[in-house]
Amino acid sequence: MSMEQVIDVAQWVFLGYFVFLNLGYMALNVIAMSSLRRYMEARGVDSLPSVYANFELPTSILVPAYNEEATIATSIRAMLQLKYPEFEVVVINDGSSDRTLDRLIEEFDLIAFPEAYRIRLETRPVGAVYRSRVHPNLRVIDKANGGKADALNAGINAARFPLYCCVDADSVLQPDSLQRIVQPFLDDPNTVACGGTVRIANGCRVSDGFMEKIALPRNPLALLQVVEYLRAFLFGRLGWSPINALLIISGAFGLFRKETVISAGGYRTDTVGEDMELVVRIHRLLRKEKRPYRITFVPDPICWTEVPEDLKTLKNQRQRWQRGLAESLMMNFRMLFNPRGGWVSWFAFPFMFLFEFLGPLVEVSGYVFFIIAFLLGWISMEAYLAFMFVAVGLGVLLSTSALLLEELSFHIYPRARHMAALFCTAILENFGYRQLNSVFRLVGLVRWTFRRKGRWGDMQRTARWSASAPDRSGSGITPP
Amino acid sequence: MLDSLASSEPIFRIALLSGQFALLATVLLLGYAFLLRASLTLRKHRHAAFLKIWRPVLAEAINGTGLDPASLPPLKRWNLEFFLHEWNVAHDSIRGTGEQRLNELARALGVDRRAWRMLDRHQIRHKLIATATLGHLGEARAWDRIAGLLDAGNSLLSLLAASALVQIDAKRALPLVIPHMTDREEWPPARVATILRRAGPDAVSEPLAAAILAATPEKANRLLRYLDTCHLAVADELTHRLLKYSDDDYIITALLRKLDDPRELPIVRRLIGHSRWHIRMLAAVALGRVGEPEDDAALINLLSDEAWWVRYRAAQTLANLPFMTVERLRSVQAAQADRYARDILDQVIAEETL
Repeated sequence: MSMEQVIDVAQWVFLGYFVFLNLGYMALNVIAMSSLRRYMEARGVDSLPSVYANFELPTSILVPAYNEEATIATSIRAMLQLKYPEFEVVVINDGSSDRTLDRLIEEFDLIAFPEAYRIRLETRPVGAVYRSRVHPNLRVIDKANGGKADALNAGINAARFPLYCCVDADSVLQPDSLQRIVQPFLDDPNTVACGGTVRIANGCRVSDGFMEKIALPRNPLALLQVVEYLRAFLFGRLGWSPINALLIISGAFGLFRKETVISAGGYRTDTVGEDMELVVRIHRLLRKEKRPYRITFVPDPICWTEVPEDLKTLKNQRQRWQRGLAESLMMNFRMLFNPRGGWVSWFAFPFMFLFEFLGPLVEVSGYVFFIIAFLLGWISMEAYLAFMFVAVGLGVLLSTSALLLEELSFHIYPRARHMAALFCTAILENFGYRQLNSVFRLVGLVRWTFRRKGRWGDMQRTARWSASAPDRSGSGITPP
Repeated sequence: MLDSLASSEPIFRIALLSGQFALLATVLLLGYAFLLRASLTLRKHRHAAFLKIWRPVLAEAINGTGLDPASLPPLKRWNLEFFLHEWNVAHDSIRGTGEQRLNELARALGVDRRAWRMLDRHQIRHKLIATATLGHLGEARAWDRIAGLLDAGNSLLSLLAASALVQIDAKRALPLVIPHMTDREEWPPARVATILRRAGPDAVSEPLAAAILAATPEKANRLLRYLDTCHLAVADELTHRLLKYSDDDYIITALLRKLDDPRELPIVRRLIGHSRWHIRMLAAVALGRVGEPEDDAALINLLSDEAWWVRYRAAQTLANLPFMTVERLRSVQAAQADRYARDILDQVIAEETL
């Protein structure tokens, strides 16, 4: 094959990849739009009182905490005020080296309690179980450090109720978060897991653990992530949910049927993407057993989280996410084109593999190839510009359509200038930010390929949005 | 440059076309989004203006002394949906004469006729709100139209139709609605139970009991979850008959949850030794409700059960027996050779004394 032919083939491959990637996302966008329309119609009727009153299933809220002394008390106090008829909060102190446990003991009047703790999932040793004398529905499990997955497994062992909701200790919730996310379990008894939309708290004002005022972040990096999160949640997840092929439920806020998770073996402690891995595994096992089930998603903005405002933290986070994605897919590789796997095996899994797992490699190679080919004179200026035009143009189209979904549904950013800022950001993010992200993810992929041990990475938190939280820069164990 | 590109190789023509398509689609989406935002802003203003006028009118209709149709402001076409939403919310929040006054207000404004017309509209949102409205109004003339909606493909619409029929005439509605309760698996049990509660035990007891007795075990199990919407005597009798003849685990589970009749004590004692742990657990709890003093021995045996929940519920039941004290629990604990039994009693005693 001559050099000219090689260049020709490469051009077709890269162009074809970009076009198919974006067509795939556009298809998800169309599904998401139709599903969102139905959801908003139903939501209008659900806003009538008494539709679900007194039928909500009792739920255990599991809060893994590692070195969260600065904010743990505020977060737990907010969780105890959730509007929900019957729930318990189980905090799992995962061997914190700071005063997280002391803060909890002081704040909630905890006492050591002789609980007949059941070990249904193996975890690092549990030292003690505490109960609050002020809040009968609050317990704290104090255990040896084992990571977030291990902490969640300990929480599942201690949970009393049939549903459990995993919440990051630094997540900001809405008072009706639990009510919203439990609805799919009431609508369909086959529901085994449900995720919710995570929004960005940077720039907002939080008071006593609840969202008080919604606004856009001033930090440009955080603003770019607002558009990115809208894209990821509003059609990245809502698109897969109606065909029961959702592969990711954010670890920041998700509701699960406890027995399903236990029978699947709980969270794996040997991956940094334990949240995605669990969901993929549940799909695999339940399809193998031919059991009817649903894994679903509610698009309501029910959980808010802080995102990185500096490049170093962002880089670490994205590398970790890519590593988690790679591990989750590889650990469940038998799902790919499995005859029993339905939409998950034939569409969602291959899509994730091709466009999310291999995506950074192909995208970065594509950009590098066209730049080098242009500089060496292998392709003309016109060809180079045409490729950039399609890559950037389709990216802008996708980001804009995510904003349209937001406008069609929740429009949580109230002012017209917010919307204008978001549209500008949706265009600008395609000139550098997305490419940079692809580079970060590619590094994550390379590190995973060579099995370099991933670090959790210190999340530099500013918590400027929190009216009651002092500065905190803990090494949170929970990726958003 | 674009001209030269358009006339060059196919790959670049495809790239150019894709880019142009993306650009055009982006501009259209942006335009649409701005139109949406403009319409939202207009809607917000209209809503605010609507609330200013109509909230006091609705409040007066609920609490007031009388309604003078002549003094009512005109209900403008673009305010109809706002009105129906507020009116339905108000209806769901109150009971009694307030409901009647809300209906008088709606009729005085011609909302009944407008809801009829809304039912014919194509958009599902309109059908939903019209069905809810006609149900609250108790519009018997709409019976056939609403009964037809029970078979609607949209489950929310079919459920609202069931609810509306029950509101119009509960006794006439239930023989129509109950078969759908077993056939339409997507109907959320919580919503069905709400509808049955609204119908009341007089209307529910007879048709539901008959349907349960005639149903296959699978369908009966689905209907049994609504047993507590029947009169207590009917529920007890049904429980008695089913427990005597049924060996279906799901039916037994459903019945044990609600069982409160001392006549069933022999059956509960038998179920304490069932092979499935969740039945043993429910039997332990039921024993606490219908058992006799000598049944504490059976509960003490369950403290060593292999399943944690059986041990826990047995210990809780034991602790809640009328004659039980913490000292007696401690002596029971001291007499246990099994570590698991001692541990679970430790926890329950601590809970009792917390």
